[in-house]
Amino acid sequence: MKRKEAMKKITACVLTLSMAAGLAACGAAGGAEGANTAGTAENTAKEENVSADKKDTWLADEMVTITYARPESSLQPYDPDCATVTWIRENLGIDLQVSTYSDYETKMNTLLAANQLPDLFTIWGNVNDVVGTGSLLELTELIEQYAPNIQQDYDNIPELSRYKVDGGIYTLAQIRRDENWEQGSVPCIRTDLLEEQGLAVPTTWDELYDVLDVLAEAYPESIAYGARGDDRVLFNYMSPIKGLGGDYGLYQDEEGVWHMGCLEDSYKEALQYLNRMYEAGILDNEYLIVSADDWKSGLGTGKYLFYYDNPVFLDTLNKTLRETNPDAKLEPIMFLANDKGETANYGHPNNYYNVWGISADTENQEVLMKFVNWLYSEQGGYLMNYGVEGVHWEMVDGKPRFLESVVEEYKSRTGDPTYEAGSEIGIGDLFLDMSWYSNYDAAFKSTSEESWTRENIHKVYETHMDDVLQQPIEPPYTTEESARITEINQSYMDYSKTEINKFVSGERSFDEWDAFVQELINKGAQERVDIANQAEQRFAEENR
Amino acid sequence: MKKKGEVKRLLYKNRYLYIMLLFPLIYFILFKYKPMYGVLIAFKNFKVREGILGSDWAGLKYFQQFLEDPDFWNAFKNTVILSLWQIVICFPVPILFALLVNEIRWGKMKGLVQRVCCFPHFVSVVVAISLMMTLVSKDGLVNQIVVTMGGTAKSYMLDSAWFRPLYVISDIWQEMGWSAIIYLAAISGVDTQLYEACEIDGGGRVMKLLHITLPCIAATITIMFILRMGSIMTVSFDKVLLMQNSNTYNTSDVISTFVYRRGLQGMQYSYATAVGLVESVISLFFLGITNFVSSKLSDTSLF
Repeated sequence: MKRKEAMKKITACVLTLSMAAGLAACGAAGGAEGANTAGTAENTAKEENVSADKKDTWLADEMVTITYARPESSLQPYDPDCATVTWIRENLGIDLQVSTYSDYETKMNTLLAANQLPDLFTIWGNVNDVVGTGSLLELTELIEQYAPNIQQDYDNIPELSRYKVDGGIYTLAQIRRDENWEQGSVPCIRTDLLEEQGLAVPTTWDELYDVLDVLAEAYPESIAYGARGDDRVLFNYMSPIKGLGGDYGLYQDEEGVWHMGCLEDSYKEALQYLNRMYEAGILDNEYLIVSADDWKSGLGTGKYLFYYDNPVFLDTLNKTLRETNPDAKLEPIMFLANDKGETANYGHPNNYYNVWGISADTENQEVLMKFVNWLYSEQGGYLMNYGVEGVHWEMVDGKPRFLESVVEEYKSRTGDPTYEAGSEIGIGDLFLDMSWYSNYDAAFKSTSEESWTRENIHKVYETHMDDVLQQPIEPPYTTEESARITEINQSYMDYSKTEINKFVSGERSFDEWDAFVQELINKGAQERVDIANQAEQRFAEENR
Repeated sequence: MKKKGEVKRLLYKNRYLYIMLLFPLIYFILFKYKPMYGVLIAFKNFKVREGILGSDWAGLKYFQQFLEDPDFWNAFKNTVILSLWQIVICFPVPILFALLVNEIRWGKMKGLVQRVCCFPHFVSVVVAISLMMTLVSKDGLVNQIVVTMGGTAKSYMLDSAWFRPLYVISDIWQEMGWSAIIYLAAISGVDTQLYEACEIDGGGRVMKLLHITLPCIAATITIMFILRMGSIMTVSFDKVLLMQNSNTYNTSDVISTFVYRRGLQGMQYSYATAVGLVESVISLFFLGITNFVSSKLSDTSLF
């Protein structure tokens, strides 16, 4: 009996302890959920060592910790021991604690709802929605006081004032410091297969349809046009819709009046073209549920033969394709003309490609502003794009250039040298480059004519850069306008996303287009346009 | 005094059980009762930085807003329909399964069937949905069979008409074996003398099933039904979210995904809380009604 009693006690204790451990583990996991956070005892130890070596260049009397969040990148994972973060800690006295999250939007939405935003973070989703929550620090006075470099950018780049909300600055824009070579999404096609079928490179959308139709017939195992998700096909500024002569979202006409693309016939005509492609089986019928990774893998294995998207993947895709087919060639082609003979393409903006915000609850506002001001300086720009001077790069003819040894080191690795360097040095577009040198990685790219470097891609479109349009920048809204936009956006966008896909798949007839437009108007789409025009008028009057 | 001493003695005697009870209790307090304070958000113009108490009162503004919102009614309709599908199709399946398993005479086979059918319960929803998406994709196994039989391949995941059948089929696959455990336990508690008496009266296996097994587990079925009705407005949020895409919103958008999109993604916290609150009130109402009806008809009720 005694033994049985003892066993009972032991079992109860073990169960209790295991449950307690489970709860504790849940707590711990909750704290670090999905995050790659650098903030360990090792760092604390480093901090103590560094504290002893305070330099005159420190931005405060003591080491200041700044938390920073950004989306996780599988290409360039964050390395807590990277050179730039160490340099910043030693020379500026800023201990940058970086967290990266895989599902960034959801994570940041959750942190926002819990009022636990980090000090500095990349803005996610709709900027106005985030500003509308009141969680972003208003920066106008702080910039005047502590950030002359940012003030200078505001004085020199007029378009930056369009990003204000209610006259206030709430966001920090990425500023391009070199020439804009970005064309945005471009058409890329398997030119080796065109040759094999004796087809000419298409120059219009109609020709593209015919060419893809032949390719679909000739290669039944493949899908002619592969796309990732609906955004890149139908809604995003990077979709082919502009080239087809339409627009989905807000766009400005020549007189500066705002229109909503999806309310207009030009968008309907673009959809009709995509519907023809869908029904003929040219456009992947499952484009809606294809993830970015599956899409890239499909392009690399020859499942897809054409795409209209980012050309920077071309080198990697061709490398994979050539493992099984040495003659494979996936190449960018010229922008396609629509049925009116016009060519147009939205390019990436000069500035504001990435945007950052500062939490309204941040404790060290002064130091943080001095830090971001430094990031906008020439020294900050060079550090965050090229690494440490003398260690990673040197100045040649007034321009920074990576050291040969550094280039050789990263080129000798099996991975992509741009991202290997980006991760280890802590540089580039996937880390914290408020001053943006978009061609910083040219040295890491192959110099071969065959290679699709940023420069070689640019050469294809060099004479047609007039066709590349800047993505429209909406006027600054008041707090009330922002709140109303948040209220109506979701409703009409949910509806349009559902119905537009039905038009593409043929589930809904284009005879019902007018009813669809009317429903969008009922759900607030026209009000959204009116708000934009009202704000535009106010902005014009203020700047007259 | 004597009574107090008795309580103390019982508490001490069952101290390990009470310690174990502490954890679910903490769970309910932390995750079910404490968040109830948050329903105040539905009545406020909630601003994250101003907090729940610091935000201005909005009255019933957000309730009025969502009641006038056709998207809410679409989500409401989808939730109820999906739940009814689950109740009508998914609820009886484990009972039938338990009754069938109970009829297997070979003990080892009985155990094997049970184990195999319980296994899918432990597969995570993400994996289960990925499996299903692969199976029903345009070049997946299902379409290959359909094409072999002369049909046309189609994207089931993109067809709003297929959302509910796929949801229910995957639910049955995943939960049938696990949900049957409680009925199997109830069946094993049936007095064997009743079966013997039925046999003596000339009853066969069907008669025993209909007149002994089913009536004996009726109380368990009723309790399970009342509990299920309590969650009539609740469908598996993560599963719906993983299965849905913008093409299927008209059948797949349920209240929980609607709240998630409006609240967390669209940052309309007060609006989303108001919708969530109404969802809970409706669930409570259904629970009460079912409990009342059940207590009147069968003398079995939760409270």
